[in-house]
Amino acid sequence: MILKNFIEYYEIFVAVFSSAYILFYMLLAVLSYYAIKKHLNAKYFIHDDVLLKSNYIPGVSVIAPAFNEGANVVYNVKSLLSLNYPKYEVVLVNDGSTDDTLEKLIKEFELVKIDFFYQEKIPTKTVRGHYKSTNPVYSKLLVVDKENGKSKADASNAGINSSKHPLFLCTDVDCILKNDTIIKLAKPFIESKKRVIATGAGIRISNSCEVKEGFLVKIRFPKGWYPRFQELEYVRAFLFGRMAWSQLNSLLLVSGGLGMFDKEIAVKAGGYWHKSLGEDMELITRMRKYMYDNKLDFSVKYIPESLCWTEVPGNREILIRQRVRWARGLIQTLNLHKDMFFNPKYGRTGFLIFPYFFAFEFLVPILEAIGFITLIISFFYLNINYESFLYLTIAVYLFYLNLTIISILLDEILYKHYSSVKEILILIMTAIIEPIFYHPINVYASLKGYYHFFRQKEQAWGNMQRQGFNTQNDN
Amino acid sequence: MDLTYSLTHIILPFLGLAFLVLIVILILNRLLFNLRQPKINLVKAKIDDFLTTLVFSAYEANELKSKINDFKKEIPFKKKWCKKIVLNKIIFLKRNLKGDIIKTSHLIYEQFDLFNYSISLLKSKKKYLNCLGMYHLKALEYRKGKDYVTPFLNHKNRILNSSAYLTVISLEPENLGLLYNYQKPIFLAGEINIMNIIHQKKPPIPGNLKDWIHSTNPSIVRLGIKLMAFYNYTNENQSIITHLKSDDEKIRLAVITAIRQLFIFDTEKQLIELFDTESKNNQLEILKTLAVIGSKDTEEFIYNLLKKPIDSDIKLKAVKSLSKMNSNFIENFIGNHEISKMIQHVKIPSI
Repeated sequence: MILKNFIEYYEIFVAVFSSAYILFYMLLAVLSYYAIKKHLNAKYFIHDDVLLKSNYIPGVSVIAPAFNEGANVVYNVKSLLSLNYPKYEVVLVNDGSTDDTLEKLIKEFELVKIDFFYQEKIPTKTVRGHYKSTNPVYSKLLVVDKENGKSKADASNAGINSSKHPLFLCTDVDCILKNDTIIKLAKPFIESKKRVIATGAGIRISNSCEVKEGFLVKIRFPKGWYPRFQELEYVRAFLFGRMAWSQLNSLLLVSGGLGMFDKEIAVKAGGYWHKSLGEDMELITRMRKYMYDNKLDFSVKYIPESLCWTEVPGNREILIRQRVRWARGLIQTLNLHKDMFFNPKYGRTGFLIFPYFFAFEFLVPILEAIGFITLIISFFYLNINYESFLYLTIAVYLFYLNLTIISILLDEILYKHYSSVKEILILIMTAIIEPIFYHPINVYASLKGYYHFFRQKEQAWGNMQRQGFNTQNDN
Repeated sequence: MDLTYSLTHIILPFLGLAFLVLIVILILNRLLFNLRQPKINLVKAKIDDFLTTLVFSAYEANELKSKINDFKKEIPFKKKWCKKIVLNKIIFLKRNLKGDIIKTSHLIYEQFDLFNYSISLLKSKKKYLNCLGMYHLKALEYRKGKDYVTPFLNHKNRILNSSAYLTVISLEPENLGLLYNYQKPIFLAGEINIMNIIHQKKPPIPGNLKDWIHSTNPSIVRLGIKLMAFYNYTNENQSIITHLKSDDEKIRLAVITAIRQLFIFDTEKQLIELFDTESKNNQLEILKTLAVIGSKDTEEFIYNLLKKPIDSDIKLKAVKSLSKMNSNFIENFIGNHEISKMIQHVKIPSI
């Protein structure tokens, strides 16, 4: 009897929860479409060419932490030095690499140690020194050598402390940025009525792309199944979700691989938290909090364009490790800033974003697991209506599938990243099997992340094992 | 209506149909693109070749007209996408070629009947198309189009309104004084646009410039001060200085910068007095300005400032200013470890 009552109440709860979830996603779809249209329509107000010739644009520091990147660091730095923006510097932070990263940089870029006055506005591990090139060609490069802080956050903070411009762009050294990335990300800071504190843009998967000396030669469709699943996830999340959140000025996540920030606010908010496993989300949360606390009007903007290509986990083991970290980062951030929940002081962050992240990001894997267990129990002990259950499952599945296909369609109409019908058909096939084969892995990883959080298991940075890029031959 | 009925008769058929329709649209969209793209690329190549040849040839107007009319028959010119390619190519050539390209580009623009296309955009009800039309006129410096833009000078929409002002100023830089009537705030993007026009076209000083700094619109006051600095307009130095008492932080910043650019030496004392009450940004700017106009008083002021526990950015800027003014004087701090490090830092030329 108790079990039956529980199942009945659970059914009602799930029905209400799912309806809210579906309605919310439909709203996000509309908002996303509106935001993309608005972005595209605004491009003729101030042309990029005007900004690129101007002396009045704000300077940008590109911060790229590197740990044991000796194999590709020279190419990657050259790629960063070739970005198109009139006022920028590249701050490469060697985070105590144990390989020859620093030696290669010194040799290739003719670096010498300088008497840099390092201001530790955000506490970091000891900085051993700063290097500049004696060759004027590389005058935009500053290399910061520091002790390993066991986190990207600590290295990024050292980069922020060493940077000289009012805006900084955080990226990973192995990320390949589009030539006009800085101008695209800086434009909202220049155009907006409100003070923009951060901007982000779409990230794509570089696993099968052709790369030569740090430059993207040809975009190719991912070959492995795991990168393909992630390709779908990225398109859906970046073009669909984040654009809508940006329209609501409720963006909480700007990717660690590509994000531009207002340095003054980032520093006042305390910079990246080196103990966080979701340091990108945590920083935005803290920056938002700072703005609310000081009663300053602000916005966080997102650009519906793919500006960065990055390598994603190519197999299940690395994927789970990454997702465990993300899940732990999510719960860590929500827990750390729990005072923001339904706190009128924090406006829509407290009343919309945090409740959304709690209900539809944090709770969903738990509910899915409970649902699965309930289903098994019901199978043995209760007489459930399998017909309705089956139809309901198909309905949810089709809704999810339609959302994914709309995202692909939007991406196709706007950018045409894929080269053939075959690739699109593969993507549709991937979308069809994603909920069955890929989604359960994500649910498992999330639950594992939550478990690690509650057990306070010691956190460690999982090294992302990179397969490297397809390189183009010179001949 | 029970759940199973709703699911089987409404929700599932709807979702299933939506899925199929989306797939069909997705694939058709790609197939059409694949089918059209080679054709578009071919037309684009033809347009590139034709326009480049046209620009570098010395055809008479009539000859040019007949060449264009013949060429229009070779391409699907009535299609919008084709018009866009032609127009973008003309803009590209106008922007990237040196020499007297304006006249030729205008002739080509007219002969392709693209001015009417731009007018149709300006008359559209869609605001972004209006902006696009203005962009065409601005990019091609097509003065004849000005009359189609002026109605937007009073438009309620901020972006359209500001775009119209920028277009008119860009087309007739001698009308820069028109900006004095602008009622709305001008943000950084607008300022960059205006300063870019001024830098590129170097229009004469607006006759009413002295009135700008008395405008009720703080953006115009700020811009007026910047223009005075740009034109080295020293007649209104005293009026500029009065704005050091403005309540608007950005106006004060513009004044501090202008003092440096116009070398208004007698403001040294005022800047020193203002320093303590200013925001950090303005303090940094004051130090930069004092490095240019300062005397012994500034050296004394910075010397005392460096002894106080102040923000490290301010301290660094103070060291930089002092070493720029008097590199010997800064040696007084040689025993101070922190300042010694700052001195070494500011000596690095590339930082």
